[in-house]
Amino acid sequence: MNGCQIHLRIDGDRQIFRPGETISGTYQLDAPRPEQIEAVELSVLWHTEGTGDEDLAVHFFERRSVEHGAAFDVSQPYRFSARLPRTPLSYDGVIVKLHWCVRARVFLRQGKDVLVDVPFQLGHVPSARPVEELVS
Amino acid sequence: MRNRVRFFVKKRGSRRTGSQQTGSIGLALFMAVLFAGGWALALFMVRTQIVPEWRANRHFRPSTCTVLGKRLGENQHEGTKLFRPEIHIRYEVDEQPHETWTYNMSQVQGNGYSSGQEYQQAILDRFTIGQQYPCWYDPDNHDVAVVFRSRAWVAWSMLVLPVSFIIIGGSGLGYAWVNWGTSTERRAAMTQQAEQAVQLDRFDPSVVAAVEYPFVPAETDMNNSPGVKLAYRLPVRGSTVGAMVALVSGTVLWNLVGMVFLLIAINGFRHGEREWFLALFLLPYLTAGGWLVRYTFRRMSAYVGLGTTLLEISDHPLYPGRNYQINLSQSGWLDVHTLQIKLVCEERATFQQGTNTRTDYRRVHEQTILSAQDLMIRPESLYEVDSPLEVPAQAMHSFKGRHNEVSWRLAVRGEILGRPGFEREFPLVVRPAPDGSAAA
Repeated sequence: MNGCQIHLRIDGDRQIFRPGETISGTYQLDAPRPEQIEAVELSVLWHTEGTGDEDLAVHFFERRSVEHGAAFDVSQPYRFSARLPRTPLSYDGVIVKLHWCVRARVFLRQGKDVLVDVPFQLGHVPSARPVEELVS
Repeated sequence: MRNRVRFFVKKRGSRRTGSQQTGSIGLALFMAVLFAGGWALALFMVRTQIVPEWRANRHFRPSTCTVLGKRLGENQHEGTKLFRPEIHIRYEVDEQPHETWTYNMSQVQGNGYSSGQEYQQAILDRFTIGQQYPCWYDPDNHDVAVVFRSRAWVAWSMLVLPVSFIIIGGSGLGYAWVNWGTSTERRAAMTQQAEQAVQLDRFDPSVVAAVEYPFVPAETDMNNSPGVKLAYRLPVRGSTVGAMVALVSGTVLWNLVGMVFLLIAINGFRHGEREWFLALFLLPYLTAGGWLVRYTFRRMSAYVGLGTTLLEISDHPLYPGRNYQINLSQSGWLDVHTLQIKLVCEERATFQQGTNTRTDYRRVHEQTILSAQDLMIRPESLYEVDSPLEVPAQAMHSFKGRHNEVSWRLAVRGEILGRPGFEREFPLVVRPAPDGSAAA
């Protein structure tokens, strides 16, 4: 793993957001050999989970890369900020679940990468239950 | 963190599937073979077919030859006999006589064989020994001449196959190159950017809706039919007419085929040619045919006398916690035991299992909006009723992804005395509450 770590944090350590609000935070890289870092990507995205194949959509994306031979600046944190959309809301269904998260991914020169997710909830949709369970 | 190529990735539960990385490598290799093979084939065809034929058409000089003899050349290839016409001609270039066995440029190149013996013989029969015919000789090599030249486009058209390999293989390689080492998030971001860039009409209501409420189905198809009593008439999902036509056609065809085989079997038994295998096969086949006939009649009887179901709504799309009005009218000739309207929310999940695509459904909300009993519906007096509709305050909005969906609909279900019942579905779109959450 080369000891590379990502410190990803949402401002105020908030876990719940309303649609239209702004999500912001910082990410900082901790690497003993910064010259091994090729690029870092920060995304605000949602993805599904459950019985069906995964759907994924990126709402906010930024990528920082360095020229070959140069070292990534790990001394400072980088900020991100994005206005969240109205939909889709986080959803805990029976066979379909929808999760939002902030994801940071670091690409290293040997073709490896390091990934960190910080989940958050968009909206206040309660968990769903199957109709048979509701009836019984 | 990725350390090595993994051939299988555990997806969920006990289902294992191939890893994306292995798939990408395999795709790139396949496309590279296709690309290289296309180029090799194209170069071979250009060198052996296209350029020689082009020279024969553009550079060879015309002359007149005398046919001295003719024969059908033979060759063996993987146990198959191949043939070609060979004409022995004499012609003059700069008053110098030349003789050669020839027909076309393929033969000059050393090939020209094909399997159609009769066709090749017919070509030979067009030439008479002793007669004169036009010919064309190579100005760079007077010993080379042909008595037949293909049209130029015929030779060029042979490039269609290798060019298609090159295009497909090249595109695939480009796709693999762009996506190699590209994260899932970056690919998704690029795809979404490209999709937004090609949305030509940014004032189209469906485009505007998609921007305001991403991944919520557009309600434009449901709002383009105004109602008579209320604001909108909801479209019904699916067409029963098409399904009935397909069912009847399939039943008739199945039983027709069965009857033909039955007649063959009976005829065989009468003439002493007992086809026991056919007889055994017909037993389950005709049983299934009889079941199909019974089933088809039951389905048809369900729709005989069933008129139109119209559902109108006071507003659309819907929002959680709000109240609406609906108006149902049902025509036909029906003795209805129970008629219900239900508000239904259903999850749909689609997944690949090997080469099959499977879909799973699960209802997560079912609420009876209206229930009526013992109705006599006649053509002169259709049934009409108004009802309030409240969308639950905690409802999840409509969502549509490529593989996953949360959908809402109104289901009108009727139980008919003495006949199968019916169900008609009217899709709805539910948006999140304007204040930004599911709960209003």
